[in-house]
Amino acid sequence: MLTMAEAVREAMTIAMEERPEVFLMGEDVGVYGGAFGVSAGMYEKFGADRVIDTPISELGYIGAAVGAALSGMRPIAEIQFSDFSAQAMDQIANQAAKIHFMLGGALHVPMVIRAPQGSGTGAAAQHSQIVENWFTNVPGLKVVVPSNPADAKGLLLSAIDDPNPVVFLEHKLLYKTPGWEPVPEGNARIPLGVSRVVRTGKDLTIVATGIMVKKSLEVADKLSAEGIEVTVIDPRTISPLDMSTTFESVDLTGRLLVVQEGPSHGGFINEVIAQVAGSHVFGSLKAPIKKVAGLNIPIPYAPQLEKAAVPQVEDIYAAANEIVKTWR
Amino acid sequence: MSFKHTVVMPKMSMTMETGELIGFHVSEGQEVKAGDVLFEVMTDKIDMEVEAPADGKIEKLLAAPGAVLEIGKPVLIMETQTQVLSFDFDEPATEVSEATINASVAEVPQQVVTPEPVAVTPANINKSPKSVPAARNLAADKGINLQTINPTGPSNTITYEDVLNANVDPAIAKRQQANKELIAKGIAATLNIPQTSFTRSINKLAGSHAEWHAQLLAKWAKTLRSFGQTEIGIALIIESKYGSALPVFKNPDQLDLASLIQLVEITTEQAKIGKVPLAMLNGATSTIFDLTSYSMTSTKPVLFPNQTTGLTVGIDSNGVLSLSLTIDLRALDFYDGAILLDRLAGAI
Amino acid sequence: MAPKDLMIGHPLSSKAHAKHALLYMWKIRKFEDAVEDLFGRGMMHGTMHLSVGQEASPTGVCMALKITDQITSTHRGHGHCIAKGADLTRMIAELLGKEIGYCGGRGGSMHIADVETGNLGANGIVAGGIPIATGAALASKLQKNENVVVSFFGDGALNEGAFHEAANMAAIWKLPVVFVCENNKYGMSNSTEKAFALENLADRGLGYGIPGVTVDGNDVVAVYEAAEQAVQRARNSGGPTLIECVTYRWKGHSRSDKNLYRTKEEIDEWKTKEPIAKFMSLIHEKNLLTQEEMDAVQQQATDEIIAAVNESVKAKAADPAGLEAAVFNAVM
Repeated sequence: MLTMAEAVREAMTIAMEERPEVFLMGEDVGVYGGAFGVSAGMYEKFGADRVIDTPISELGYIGAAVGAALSGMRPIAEIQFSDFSAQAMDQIANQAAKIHFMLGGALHVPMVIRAPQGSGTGAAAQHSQIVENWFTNVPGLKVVVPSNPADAKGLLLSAIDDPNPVVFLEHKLLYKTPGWEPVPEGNARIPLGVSRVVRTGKDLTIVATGIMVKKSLEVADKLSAEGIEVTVIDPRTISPLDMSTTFESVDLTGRLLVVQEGPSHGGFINEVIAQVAGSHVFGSLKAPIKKVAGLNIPIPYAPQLEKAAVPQVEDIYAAANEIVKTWR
Repeated sequence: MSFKHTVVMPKMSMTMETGELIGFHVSEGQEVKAGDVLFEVMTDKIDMEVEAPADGKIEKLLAAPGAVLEIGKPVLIMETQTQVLSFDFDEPATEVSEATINASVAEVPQQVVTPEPVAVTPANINKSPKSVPAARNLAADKGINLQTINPTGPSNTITYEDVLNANVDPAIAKRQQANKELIAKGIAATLNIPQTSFTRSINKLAGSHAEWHAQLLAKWAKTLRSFGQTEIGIALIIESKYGSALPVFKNPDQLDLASLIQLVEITTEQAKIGKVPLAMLNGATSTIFDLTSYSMTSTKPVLFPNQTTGLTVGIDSNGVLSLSLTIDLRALDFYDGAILLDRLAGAI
Repeated sequence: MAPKDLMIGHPLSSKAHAKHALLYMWKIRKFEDAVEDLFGRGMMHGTMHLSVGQEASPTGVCMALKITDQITSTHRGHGHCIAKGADLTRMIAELLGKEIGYCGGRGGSMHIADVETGNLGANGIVAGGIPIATGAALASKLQKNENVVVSFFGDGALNEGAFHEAANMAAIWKLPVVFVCENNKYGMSNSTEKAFALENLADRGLGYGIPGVTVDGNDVVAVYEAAEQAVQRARNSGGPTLIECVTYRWKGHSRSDKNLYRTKEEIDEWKTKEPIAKFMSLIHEKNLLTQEEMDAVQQQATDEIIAAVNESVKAKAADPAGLEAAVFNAVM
């Protein structure tokens, strides 16, 4: 079984073999193989013109990726830690996201920004954030948050094909772990903007992305042993957001729990809640909608503090348990 | 110039004898506009809001909430700017003479009020307990009054399970039962009439539920009209929380289709919650029972009292419709029945 | 599709080249006059940044560029757009919020792009286009198509991080990009004297190993000659050049500018160094065009702008109906 890092590398390799206009750029992606080893061996395979080591200039090289994309290339730009995307935010939010719309539709920016996000490594506040929600509020960006190697590969292939800028955020704790199913061989794509029902159950719907899918599945197993069956939905692409599956599921279960690692205040899960509350399935709700999210604090350093800052399996379990057992 | 108008317990169906005054929406001395709701009445078939027939002022409330009043008994007196003419009832309210209205109004309440232990007052008519959305919907479907449920959820909220476990509101259960008995009584009365039935299959009309019903009503009315019937009223059986409701569509073939569709939509919505406009309670000459939404093929169509035809529409697993017609052989012969059904099938 | 009259070569190399340079400078001048008038009449929404007095640098630079070469531009970008060959009607239409405008009314004055003439777009963010031009040059290098990319920007952009990051990358990778800094003396109200400790801003290139050259930005010939050299260097894998075109903005930064930070005398003095008059005297010296011919060129520019305004005023207003569908490009 491939790990997330291997699956991402396989997708990039396939895309680069298929299309000469695809290339990878970023800090230490070449000989070093990327800070998390994601591009290991690619420099040797594709050479310095297609696996480009950039200076430590996030604004500069993300902007260069935008320019290259405008001129017929399909760059994959890796940002070493997604936290550093703040350095490049003008090029991401003001340039890449807006060019197609603002300049009348004749230009397009087919590029992928790949970056690891998330806590759990003890790297503290500037290397541990969930940044996905910085981008969901920028129309013109697609935001993909894979939860497992198989999805990561298929989604990344589609992201590279996409004629729009895609921010692809990988949870760094998932890099070294295999998923719950083997990664399909070959170049099969998974379309962006289509959510996935990872597990089906009649009592509760959990919507989660990234590493929270894995944690939610653990909770679902635990609850199943107690006779409670949980549906786990992974939107996979959080912008644009596919709500149809969630509507269908909530209509059936009448109970919704949304989970994100990022801080509670803001975030796509709040959009999920708002859409369900305002939708035709409102009348099916048997319980108040619940949210489990990170605290509204920067990620702290010490392990026990870091753990307290983001949802753990126990927190998700407690919320799920409360919804199902209190609201029969 | 002003007039005194006595608003009485209205008759809302052929068989209604009494109605229960649920509560007033107005108080004495209050100015009202024509169309304002004066009070609510509950009968075995429906909940009714009785509206002010004209602009004016409420002079006196003559009955107490909870009272069960005979048809035609006064409920309130109002002073109106214009003379109110009331031709709404099949039979004029002869029981209430001019003399009674003008002279003895003050005495009436004492005679007709039946005190009830639980009076529903205007103040709490619209107050609803906290409940989760699914509980509210389920309660509506089951005909359960949320006020009768003991909430077990946090913050005194009614949960879905609370409704699942709740018994139907005794008042509604009573009315459901009364409704069933009423229909059974009517059908029993027609069983001895010489009658026969015909069945025929056709392809289904496209369109929404309301569109389909509107088309069916119009085509059936047109077919009946082609047989020389002039005043046509078609009752459409609609499932309500009190059991079957039978709103009557008068001469539906003479409305344009868009208006008819709208009328069917509104009436269906209202009937589902037990409210049918007074004017649509009487005058049926035929009844349609649509089984298609239950995926039933057919049932034996029945004759309601004073109706010469009854039509049932079913659907089979291949989506083919079956029309079943029962006719009163005293009014129509076998040949007429066959032609009627053939013409309807042709129209559809 | 390139406009028929787009011309490459030295502005004084022939009658036709002289005519071209003069015509384009007049077009830019007249365009800005028209925009100022339309804005004043309340026909234009938003704001606009006029480049009156700065016509020589876009004209001179673009005469060194092939139609396949690309540019990025700035908020004060009407001149770059025109000099690279954009359609005047579609430009005016964009400013008036019309459907036929370059961006269908979604961009306005600060965001005109034109794929056909290699204009990758004007940018409302100071220095926003510099990394983009660098990336387009990277694409050119990877695709080996020998296209050169010119990034126009103002003096203020030289103090943005984006310039420094992009200049460094362009230098280390020897990218075919030319950085053209139009030093019009003010970043809004902040003078270059206050914002730089350098006399020649072109010296900024030195820190990145990039040759820097300062030219009279009001002399279309000097601009052309510097650009031509830089473009050839870029095309021959020699890497980037930083050209500083010293010029002056006659009008305020934008419409709301009260010119509190500079004197009337200073503005008047710069008006004596006006680029069009300067070029006409050169033409006269070289006997390339008669006064009548020069008058005719000016008239042609005026006529073209009037026709563009008249046509775009009549055009259909942009429709909000398609806005949401326009955010993403349909998947190819």
